[in-house]
Amino acid sequence: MIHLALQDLRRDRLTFAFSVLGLGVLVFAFLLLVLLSLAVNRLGEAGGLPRNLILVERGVLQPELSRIDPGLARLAASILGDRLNRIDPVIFRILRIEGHPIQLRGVAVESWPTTFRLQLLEGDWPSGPSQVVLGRLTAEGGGWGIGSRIEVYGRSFRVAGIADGPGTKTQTLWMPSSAASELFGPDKGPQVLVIQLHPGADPLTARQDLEDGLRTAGVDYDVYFEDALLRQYGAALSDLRSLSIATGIIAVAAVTLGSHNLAWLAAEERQRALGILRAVGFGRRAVGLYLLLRAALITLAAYLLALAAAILFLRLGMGPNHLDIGGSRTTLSLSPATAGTGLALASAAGLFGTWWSIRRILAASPATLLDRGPGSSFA
Amino acid sequence: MSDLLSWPNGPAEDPTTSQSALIRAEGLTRTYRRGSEKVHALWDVTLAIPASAFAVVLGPSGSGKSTLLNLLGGIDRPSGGRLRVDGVDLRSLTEGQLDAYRRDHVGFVFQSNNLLPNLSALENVALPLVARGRRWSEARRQAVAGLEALGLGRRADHRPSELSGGEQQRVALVRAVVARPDLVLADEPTGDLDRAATETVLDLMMSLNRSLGATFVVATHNQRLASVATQVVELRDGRTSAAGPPA
Repeated sequence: MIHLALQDLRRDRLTFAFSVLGLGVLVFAFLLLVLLSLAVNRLGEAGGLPRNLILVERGVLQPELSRIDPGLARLAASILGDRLNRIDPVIFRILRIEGHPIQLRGVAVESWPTTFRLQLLEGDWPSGPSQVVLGRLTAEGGGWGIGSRIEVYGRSFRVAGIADGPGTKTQTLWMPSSAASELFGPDKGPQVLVIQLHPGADPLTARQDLEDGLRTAGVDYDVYFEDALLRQYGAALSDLRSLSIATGIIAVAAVTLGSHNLAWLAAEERQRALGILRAVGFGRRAVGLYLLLRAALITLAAYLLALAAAILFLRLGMGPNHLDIGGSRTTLSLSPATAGTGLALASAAGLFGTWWSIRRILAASPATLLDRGPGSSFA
Repeated sequence: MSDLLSWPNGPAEDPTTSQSALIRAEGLTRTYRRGSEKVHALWDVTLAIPASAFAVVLGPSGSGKSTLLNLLGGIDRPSGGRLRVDGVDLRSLTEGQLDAYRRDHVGFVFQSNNLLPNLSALENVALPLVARGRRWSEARRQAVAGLEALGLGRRADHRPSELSGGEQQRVALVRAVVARPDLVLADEPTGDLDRAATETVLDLMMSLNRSLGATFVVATHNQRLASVATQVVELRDGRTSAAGPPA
């Protein structure tokens, strides 16, 4: 039967080429949508979603005037449960350094690239308490670079790196929490608590639950999203993820329908040939196998074509090969596992679509296929 | 032709006695519906065709010749009556058993478009052998021998569209006999051929009947065949008007 399927395709090259091309376009769209969906997922997991809530004292207009009770972090953790990923106390000050208004943020260094999504543009993260990292706008505004020294409250700090974060519009200076605590003394403590939620948690519900829980506990703190703009980005990201999954499913359905139509046309065109095959002794199963093998060869060729097109598209920069959302970037990449899954899904869709369309042909008697039946319905 | 005639002979039986009948039909009917109307394509057909016979089914268009051949070949099922081929009741066979019956016992030649257009003459001839489980390489060797026996060796690699009508029917004839069936059914095999090609195909069928010993049942308008047939079945409006040795 494989010989028969191969000969059929080899000697009807135009039909074969158009079938492969038609199906290949659908598989190509399916592959790109899968990659987009995976990229959006990665972006969400990497912190693209607005998962940070900020707790400040109620009624305080300027964050540097806020105070955080020592037990507040534990209370917030108990309210959020497994939705909580991490809590960071932040020492927050607005300073004027060499005439430049700068937000100083004293936070544990390990949270800078994760919770605060800082990306190092130059230099290194601080390796000691006398080193700081400047925001890009700060470095540009003050003309500071790696190795520059900055005086804060009479103490000299070396600029170890320059970093940038999503949506940053202010000049910032990042300092290790231990250094900030030592610099400003223990009396005021942190001004803000930044809560990073788990990727699977719904930020809106978590925020509402936290506000309700704090109110019930009788403590007066407001809960904000880190950045309203990031919240919008997050909502868009979430929608994009759902949409790309939905369109991926639609693409699989399109491959199924495309295979169905191709197999239906092939079977209709070959009705007499199939009747002859049945007449010379091939059973229904053998004829079905011939049609399925033929479809499998077309699907495989279409998949290889689509895979080559996707690789060209991504690797040779023939199209956009990355995704920038909320200041976070993720690259569309085609791994062997994704390619294998794509082949399995395309094959399954192709074979299911074919089987779906040829059932009627397989159920028909040889006489009907040969157009020799005396009528359409027999008594 | 000498190669063809050297093929071993099949079973020799007296074609005139119904005791040795390969095909036996009693009260055979095939009814179908056309809208609300019930149409009898065959009605109460009774006949016996001996093994190794060269039987001709005569009758005008619409008389039921093709329907009778469909039933004999197991590509359609009777609505009533009895139909036995070599003692086997075809009505009792399952779909799978009917597939096996066609594969192991029957060869077909239709009026036209007998061949698969995307296969060469050789591959078309090899099909019944492949259906019987032979490898393509082995089936091709046997198919080449068959084509050469009928003078078509040089056309083996040609596709049907590259063959004349007469050549296509000869290829179909080789395919019908290549697996050595007991029964060869030919439905108007010369209907679309010119006179010279018709004579060639008819001579070949009669030669094959004699050399292979297979039973041939040929539906035709050609009166010449009736004169050389060992058995004639005449159909009119789906009924047998005569059945037996030619008058």
